[in-house]
Amino acid sequence: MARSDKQSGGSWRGIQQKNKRGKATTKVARQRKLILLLRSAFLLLLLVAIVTGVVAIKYFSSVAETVAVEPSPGKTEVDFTSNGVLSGKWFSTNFPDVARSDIRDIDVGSLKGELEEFGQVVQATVTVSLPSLLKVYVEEREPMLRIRFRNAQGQAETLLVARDGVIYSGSQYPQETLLGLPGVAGLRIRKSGSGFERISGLEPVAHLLDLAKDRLPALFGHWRVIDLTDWNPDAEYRPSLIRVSSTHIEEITFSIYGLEEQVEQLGGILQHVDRYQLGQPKSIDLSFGEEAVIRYN
Amino acid sequence: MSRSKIVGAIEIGTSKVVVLVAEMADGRSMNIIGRGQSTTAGMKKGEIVDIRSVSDCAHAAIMAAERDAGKEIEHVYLSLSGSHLWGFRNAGATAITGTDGIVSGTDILRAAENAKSRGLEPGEVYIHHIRSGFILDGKLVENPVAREGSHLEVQYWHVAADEQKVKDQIMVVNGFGLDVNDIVISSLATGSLVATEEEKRQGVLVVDIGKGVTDYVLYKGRRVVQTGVIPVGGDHITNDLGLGLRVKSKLAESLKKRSACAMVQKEDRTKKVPLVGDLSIGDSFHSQLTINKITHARLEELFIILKNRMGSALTRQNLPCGMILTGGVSRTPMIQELAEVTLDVPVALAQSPDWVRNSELQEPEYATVLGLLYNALHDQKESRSDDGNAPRKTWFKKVTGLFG
Repeated sequence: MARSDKQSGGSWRGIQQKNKRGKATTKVARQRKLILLLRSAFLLLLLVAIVTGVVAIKYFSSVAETVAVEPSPGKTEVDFTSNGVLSGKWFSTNFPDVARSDIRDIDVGSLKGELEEFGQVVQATVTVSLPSLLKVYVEEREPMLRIRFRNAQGQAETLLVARDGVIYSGSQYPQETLLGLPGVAGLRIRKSGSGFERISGLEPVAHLLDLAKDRLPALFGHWRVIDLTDWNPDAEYRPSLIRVSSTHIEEITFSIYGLEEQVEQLGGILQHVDRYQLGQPKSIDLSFGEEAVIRYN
Repeated sequence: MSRSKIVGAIEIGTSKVVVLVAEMADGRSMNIIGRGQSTTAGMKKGEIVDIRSVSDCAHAAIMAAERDAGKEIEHVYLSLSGSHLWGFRNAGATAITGTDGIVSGTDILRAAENAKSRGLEPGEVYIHHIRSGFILDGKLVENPVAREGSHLEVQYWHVAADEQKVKDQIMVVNGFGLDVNDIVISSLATGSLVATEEEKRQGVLVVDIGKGVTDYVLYKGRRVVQTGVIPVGGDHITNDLGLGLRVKSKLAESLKKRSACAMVQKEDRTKKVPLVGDLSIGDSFHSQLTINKITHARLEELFIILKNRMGSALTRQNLPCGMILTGGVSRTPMIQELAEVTLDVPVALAQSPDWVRNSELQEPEYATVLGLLYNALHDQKESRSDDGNAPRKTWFKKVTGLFG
């Protein structure tokens, strides 16, 4: 075809083509515009969703990387605290694997159970603080008496008796603390699993020791052995006696009833003996109520 | 990187709106992917008389074509017809300014500007400036560049139209939310498709007889020599039949399509044609002779008008390849014979080129829209070679275009 040139001046191209909302607009055209608009909006939303998705994936993958890398195995930090004598060293000696484990692998419930199997521990609290801190708090028993025990191999062992009657082998107690504890004799103990059965009814004994420590501290410092041969918690049928051997007095006998009065009476007796220079008593029996039997050397 | 363009060719005709959607890759290949069509209301003799009705029809057709294609049209090529179109020849001349007397591109441009400078009446706009040849020192030359001479003349065939009527057509397309990228008059679109390069070289007249108007284009020496529109079409035959047979226009149209013949024959004297033709009770019969006489008279008149318009250009010597008939009315039996008798030139019915494989698209009604697409492909090739001077729609403009 012959070439056809179009010029702008006087040409149809000079006609404005912007009358898109005029009388020539029809329902079909408006529908088409709406469809195109909705399609554009949909594409825009899709784009936004894709961008958001990519950003979210990047963000979460970076978080996952942090969790995977930072608490590397064997880097668990242990914060051990106690209300008694046990220390972090004791914990790391008895639970060496904990510090080497990945904190996510530590079974907190099981660790608490294991801690509470130690007789010295009354209650344990174990908490995990991410990313790598393990907090352990233990509440300890207070020892009241010492007991000598000969094991199956015939070797002598020293055990401790707590106020609630639990018998355990104590750890990390200072030597002075252990030496300051009176020994106990005449007490029948029984094995139970790897430990010993708890002795019930020791509350009067504990009460007596508290009273003596509080009211007669000078005398209590010399108490060496608490003899429970005639001690019977079920005291309805037989008298239940607590015999104390001290450095100066061979035997002081208490009944489990009226301990406060007996300790007060003992204090009075000792004051009287001292004031009147009556000599050192060999034994004092306070188990007869208001009367006391005193024997001198 | 190659990028395909979705081009829509729209023909708003008197009888129907036809839209074709094609995918064009870099001006090298074209694939027709969608088609939409609807009957037209509000058009008369190729011109819009009710823009709302035309918009409804056109938008329905464009929508159907886009749905068929599954893609939105990006570029629109619109065909233009109607009796408001007129053409004239105007040459521009210049003296060769080079000291050596060699014709340069600047000389051609100056002569072309001179040819295009003729002013139009108020309310008229140019549609095309079609270069139809160079005359160097009184001799017709194919390409004057680098040739020696003193006086250069550039022949142009200009096509102008009523501005308001062009605006109406553009407004219909704009109303759908599309811009018109180019307008091609119907005769050029049709001619570019149905006439071969050899026919154009030797000389051929392409006549598209539509429902409202008849468009024609005359080629000679591979150039457009003349174009025109005759405000006579198939509708006139229908009206004549309606008046002559005293039947309604709709029935007359049906009768024309079924039974009309361009030539009167012996057997027509006795032959009767049913008006409705569906064996319904009360159907009236009309003489085939009357129908053919009416058809013959109107078509003969059309060809005589054409002969008068063309004058001495329409002779066997000037047009060795004769005339090619296309358009819906070209389906009328024996129209070819009537044209030959009346115009005294060889007449052929248009045939679609080989690349149109779809049998429906090979029908004469689609010649104009196919021609539009052919022009669009040609334009793309040119714009590629011209470094893309045509304004391009940026992505931003596309997005903002959604909001009107």
